[in-house]
Amino acid sequence: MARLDELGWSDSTVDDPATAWGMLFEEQGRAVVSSPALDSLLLPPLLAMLGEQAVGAAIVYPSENADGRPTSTLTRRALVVDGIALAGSERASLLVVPVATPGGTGLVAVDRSAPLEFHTVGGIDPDAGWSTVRGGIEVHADQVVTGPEAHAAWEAAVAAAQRGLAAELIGLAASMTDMAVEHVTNRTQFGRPVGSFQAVKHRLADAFVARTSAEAALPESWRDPHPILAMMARSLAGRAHEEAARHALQVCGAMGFTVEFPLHRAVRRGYLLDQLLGPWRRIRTQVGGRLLANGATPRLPALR
Amino acid sequence: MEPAELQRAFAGWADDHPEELKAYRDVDHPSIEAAVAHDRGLQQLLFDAGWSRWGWPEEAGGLGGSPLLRAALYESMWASDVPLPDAFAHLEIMGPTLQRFAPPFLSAHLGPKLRGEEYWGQGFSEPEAGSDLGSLRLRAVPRNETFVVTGQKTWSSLGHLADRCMLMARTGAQASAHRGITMLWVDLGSPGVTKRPIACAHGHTYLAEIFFDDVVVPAERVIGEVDGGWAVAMYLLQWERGMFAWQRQAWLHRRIDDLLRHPALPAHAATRIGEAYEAVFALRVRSGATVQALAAGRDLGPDISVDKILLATAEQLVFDAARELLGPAFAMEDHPAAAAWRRDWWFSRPASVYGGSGEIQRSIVGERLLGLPR
Repeated sequence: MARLDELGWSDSTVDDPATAWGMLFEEQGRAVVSSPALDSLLLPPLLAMLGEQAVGAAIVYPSENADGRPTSTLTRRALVVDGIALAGSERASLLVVPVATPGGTGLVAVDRSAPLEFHTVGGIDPDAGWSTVRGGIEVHADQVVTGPEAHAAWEAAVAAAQRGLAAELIGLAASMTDMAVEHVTNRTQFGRPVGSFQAVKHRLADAFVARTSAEAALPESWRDPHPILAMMARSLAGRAHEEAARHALQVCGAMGFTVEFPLHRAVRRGYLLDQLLGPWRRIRTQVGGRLLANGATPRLPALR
Repeated sequence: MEPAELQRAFAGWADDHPEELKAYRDVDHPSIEAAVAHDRGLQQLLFDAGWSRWGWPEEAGGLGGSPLLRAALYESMWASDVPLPDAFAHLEIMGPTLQRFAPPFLSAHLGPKLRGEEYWGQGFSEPEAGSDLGSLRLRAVPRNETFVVTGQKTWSSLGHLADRCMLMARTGAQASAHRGITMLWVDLGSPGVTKRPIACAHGHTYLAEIFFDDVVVPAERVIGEVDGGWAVAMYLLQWERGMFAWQRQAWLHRRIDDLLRHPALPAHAATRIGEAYEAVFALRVRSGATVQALAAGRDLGPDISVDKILLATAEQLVFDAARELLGPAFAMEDHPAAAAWRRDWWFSRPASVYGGSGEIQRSIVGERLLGLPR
């Protein structure tokens, strides 16, 4: 991020955040690269609450997103941390931990040197370099921000994260589709390219349409803070990754199943990312639940 | 007039005219013909108040402004519980094509069409020419200052109610395929025209066969160029897949709202609703971008096949969700609301067939957008 700043990154994120962040995360996805860039995307809404100390901090993400509340808790001065930190978070000097409190989500600033347990996450994608973060420590009042403003700041940070993750998942989907197109264009059987068969063509068309839907939803989610838009962007992008993975794995045949062929890396990354403020199917169902509770679909802005 | 302004103004007008609009809300029509006849009154109301004239050229009897004003009206109507009459589908499918290739025809026919005094239909498909539309056989033979038209069209939506028809006719040799086709604007009241409605599975005579037996069409009724009809059809398809898709997404939102308000939905409703809404949401953002591009005068090419796929997917997901969540209310009850769900479920099945089948669209996406080998 420091190198990006030298190139004027911070200015471009202020002038046109949608394009700047969108490009960064999509490229991160296309290249299947892991970085703590998401932390930088979440921090601005949180800095107003936590002050300049939090610049360059690492976020401790909820370890799961069952009901939208953080998985770390704060009871009086006892902080119990249960979350995920991204690759490169060890370089941060401060951790920002969202906590579930009776009044909503609060934010706790924890020094990186605090006695918490960091375990490297293996699982489906060890290359992502994630860590789980666990432990119980005492904190001082001046480390903690609670109340409606802190809650709103975390909600805004989550919405920003969904947009960034959506762009990354779109990049991963594009990467897998590109690999599949190249493979089926070059691979021949029965005297013709495998990609000339309709069944193969139609699978990749379905993957392309899923990705195009996700791409269409992203710009409006940047322009309009309505929470549904960020949720839909994330849901469509998660689905785009899943569709692309499913169809690319099928049409790339046995080659697609090897370590040598790069497809498995993009498949893994997307399924791991699904665990961050997801999974996308649950977000989609949450939207369904909101619609049922309201008895109506939301009114969205007119075309301009 | 800006789109957001039109939306606000329409909402206010709808609030101020409940008595006039009541006749068009929650009406249960016994047939599509009855619905079309009844909606004439609503079309008159919308015309007299100016709403349906926005976004059409002043030379043609409109109030001017961008096609985005029409898009704003369609969404506003459903938002204010004012149903959008079926007549507006054909208006958007054919009106812009007249505007681009035959402006005098739009000037002559826009007012009557908007007011519900005349109906438009398409004569594209034939028994032997569906997906392979380029192989159509209906002939238009030049004779003096006319074309003499002979042949048969089928699957024409509300064709049996149409006064005017946008007709694709062969003017070249049969082997010329799509290169020898001319688009004609035909008066279906002419001698030699026979219309036969087709009973459809959803309980309505929605489609029609139209037979042409030496029908005389003045030569000046060519839309675009002689033998240039394929390009006219491709232009028309953009508006069908753009603005018609936009109309459908507005209506699909209303149908999801209807489903949300149904009492006693099962426990897993949120999952199905979320899935259906996601598809309609995707359709809205995509068709919105397409409508903006069309309004800016851009031609869209094969990208529009994505819109067609999204439209069919969204429509089918909404009514499959309804079928599943309503259970016995869908499959066994006979009151009007249940019949309407069944009607809409049935009609959502050919959403992936009409206007270019899903298979054709996916092949276009694969070959022309992904570059896969033919």
